[in-house]
Amino acid sequence: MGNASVRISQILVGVVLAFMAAILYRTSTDAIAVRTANDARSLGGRVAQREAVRIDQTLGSILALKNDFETGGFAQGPFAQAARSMMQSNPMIDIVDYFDENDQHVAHVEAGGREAFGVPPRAGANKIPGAVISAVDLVLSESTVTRTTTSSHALRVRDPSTPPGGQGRLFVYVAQPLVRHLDVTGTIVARIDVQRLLADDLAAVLPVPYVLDDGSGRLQTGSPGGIAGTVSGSAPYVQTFSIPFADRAWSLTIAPPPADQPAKPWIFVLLWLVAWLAVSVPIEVVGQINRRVRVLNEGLEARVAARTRQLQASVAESQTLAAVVESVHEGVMLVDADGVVRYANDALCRELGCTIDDLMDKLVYEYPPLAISKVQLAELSDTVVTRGFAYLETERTRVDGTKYWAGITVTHHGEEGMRDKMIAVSRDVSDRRRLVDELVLAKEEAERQMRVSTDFVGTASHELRTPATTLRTLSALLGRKVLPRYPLSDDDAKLLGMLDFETRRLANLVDDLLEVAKVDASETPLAETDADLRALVSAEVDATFALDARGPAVEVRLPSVPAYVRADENALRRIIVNLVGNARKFTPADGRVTVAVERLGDRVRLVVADTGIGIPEVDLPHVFERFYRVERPGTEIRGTGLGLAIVARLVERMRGAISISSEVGRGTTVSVEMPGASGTSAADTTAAASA
Amino acid sequence: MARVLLVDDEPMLRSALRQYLEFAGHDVDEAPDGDDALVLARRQRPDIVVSDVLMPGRDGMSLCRELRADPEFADVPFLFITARSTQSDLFDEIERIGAGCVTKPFEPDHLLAAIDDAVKKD
Repeated sequence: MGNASVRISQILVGVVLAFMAAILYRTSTDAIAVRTANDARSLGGRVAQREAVRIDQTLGSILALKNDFETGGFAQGPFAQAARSMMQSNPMIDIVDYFDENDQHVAHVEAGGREAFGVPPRAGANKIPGAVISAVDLVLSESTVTRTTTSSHALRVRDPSTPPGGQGRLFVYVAQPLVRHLDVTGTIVARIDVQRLLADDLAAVLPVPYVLDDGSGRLQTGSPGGIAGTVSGSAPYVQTFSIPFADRAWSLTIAPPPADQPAKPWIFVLLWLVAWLAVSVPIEVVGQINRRVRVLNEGLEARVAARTRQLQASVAESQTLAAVVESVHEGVMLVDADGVVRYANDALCRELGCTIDDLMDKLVYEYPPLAISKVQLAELSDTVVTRGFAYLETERTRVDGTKYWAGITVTHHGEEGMRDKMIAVSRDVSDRRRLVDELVLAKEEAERQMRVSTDFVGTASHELRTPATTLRTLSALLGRKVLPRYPLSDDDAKLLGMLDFETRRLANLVDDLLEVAKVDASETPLAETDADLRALVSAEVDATFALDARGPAVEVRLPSVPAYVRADENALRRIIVNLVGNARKFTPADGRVTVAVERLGDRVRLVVADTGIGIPEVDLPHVFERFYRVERPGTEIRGTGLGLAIVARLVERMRGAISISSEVGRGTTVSVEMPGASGTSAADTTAAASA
Repeated sequence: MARVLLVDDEPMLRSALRQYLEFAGHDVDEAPDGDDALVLARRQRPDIVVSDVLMPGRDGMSLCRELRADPEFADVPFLFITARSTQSDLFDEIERIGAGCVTKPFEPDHLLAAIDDAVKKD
């Protein structure tokens, strides 16, 4: 918008200046015209007057000659002398002729000296043959220069187009009657060389182009070269003057000198342009400045508005935050670098049972209910500066004397890394502490009882070992030594078989119980060594077969190189024996048990798979629990319910992982993954994989 | 067949094992503790000693050391029968001494096999 107004101003200025330039142009042209016209008029007037005077003088000379004749008696000799004298004094007249009253030629005198008497001149064309020159009325008047002859024949004019100086010279013949005693006794005819009188004179006198015209169209002369064009054209300021002479009105036309030509329009266009620029540029500059100032103003206003909004928002936010801080249940306190309380909320006052005035602007370590010493404050400040926050629990005594535990979180507020303001948020954690104390006590009690329980199981099973061995031995003795001596019925033999089976089971149960107790007693550390799982599997499977070759075949798949794991070797043996034993126990004799050792990057996996009776899906999540036994109606196979539990605990304690999958009637697969020994390398893994 | 010195403070187990070993064809002398066993060993010259570890008086470990120290008995195989399977340091010690071990509860046939192995090796 500002831009447009500047443009409009510039255009307006341009239009005004254009008008001014036009007016100036017109005025200037007019002034030149006036001046030129004046000059020309003055010049022309002077020239016309001068020529009139000269013609007048010439006529005067002729008149004087006539007077001399009239008084001198018309003798030829004196005539010639007088005529020659007259022509000498007046070069305008070059020939004088004398005719008597009968129009007979009497004398002829030329300026050049030739004289003739009684013979009409032949040379030249002074007289048109056959023409009669009658008497000329001569009006004598001082006031009028014009002398008109009564006969138009008096005037002889050559072709005006004839070049000057040649035969085309312009002559005017003036006839002057001679009067004697009131009788006309003859005529004097004088030839006036108008060429010299006017044209040459004008050419010498007038500094400007001119044209002389006799008004009849027969004579026209002017300054040499280009004059006719200048004059005959429509050039302005041309002045025409009338010179009456020899019975006609001569007209003199002069053109103003070139220097006085009208001003050139392009000069005014240029002037206009310069003036427009001179005015327009400042307008543009001022416009630009205005625009910038306006833009700045607008920006400033926008910023002021934005800042105002920010401030309002900030104030509102502060109020909101203050309301939030006041609304929380935690006690909030702002402490400055010197330890002076600068802010405390209602909750803190309620917590301490004091008033806000008790806290504000007080040193924290001088107000006992806050329960913090100067040293503690300094330590807190250090911790907060280095760690960004601190947490402490301290027992405080309220103003009314009651005690409570305060959990205080202290954070840093202010410049980073400097001791500055701190914000302390505190709450009553008495309940939580009590609860924690109770939990700790309960846990300790539970652990104690657990230990007692484990010890009991250990002790009890230990005590059971010897009787279990005795029973087994006795049962074996009974079967081998005693019974063969007696004939037994099938039922009796079956009874004794049951006895033998149960004593065997009792022994196994005692063994497993002791193992569980051993595993659960976590104070017994497991030795961490690099054990070769490949070798262990190989040895234990062989040993199992050595003890009992009955049952399903066992297929062993081992890597080509040792598979070291970080574990307790005895525990590993136990794991292998239990898993393989379980698999064989629950797999028919025509089934198959597969034991495989695989290396997986930095871990080693032991997989024991069987084609046995499988475990129902509902039981799978519980198979690692102690004394959990899968109910298998219709089978005689019974375990202690401890084998898998022992394996799972051992694997867990050695940071391994165990998983089981099973399908009833198809078999069970147990997979144990153990961390590999530190020396297990990728190269070994590759070798194992390719083997 | 071998002469076996059986040492255990539990008379029922001792008796049952003695009968079982005898039924298997071995000659068995039995002692209730280490001290008696030491006397009996010097008199009966057993081919193998089978002893409990924990006993009143001289215990099994002490008995074993005593016999190992005696040049006459240094080469007699020694087999522990123990309920202490939780103590790995005990096994370390047994291995160091060069004795065998069968943990309770065991199948009597396993003990027989272990005795046969030890005597044969000797």
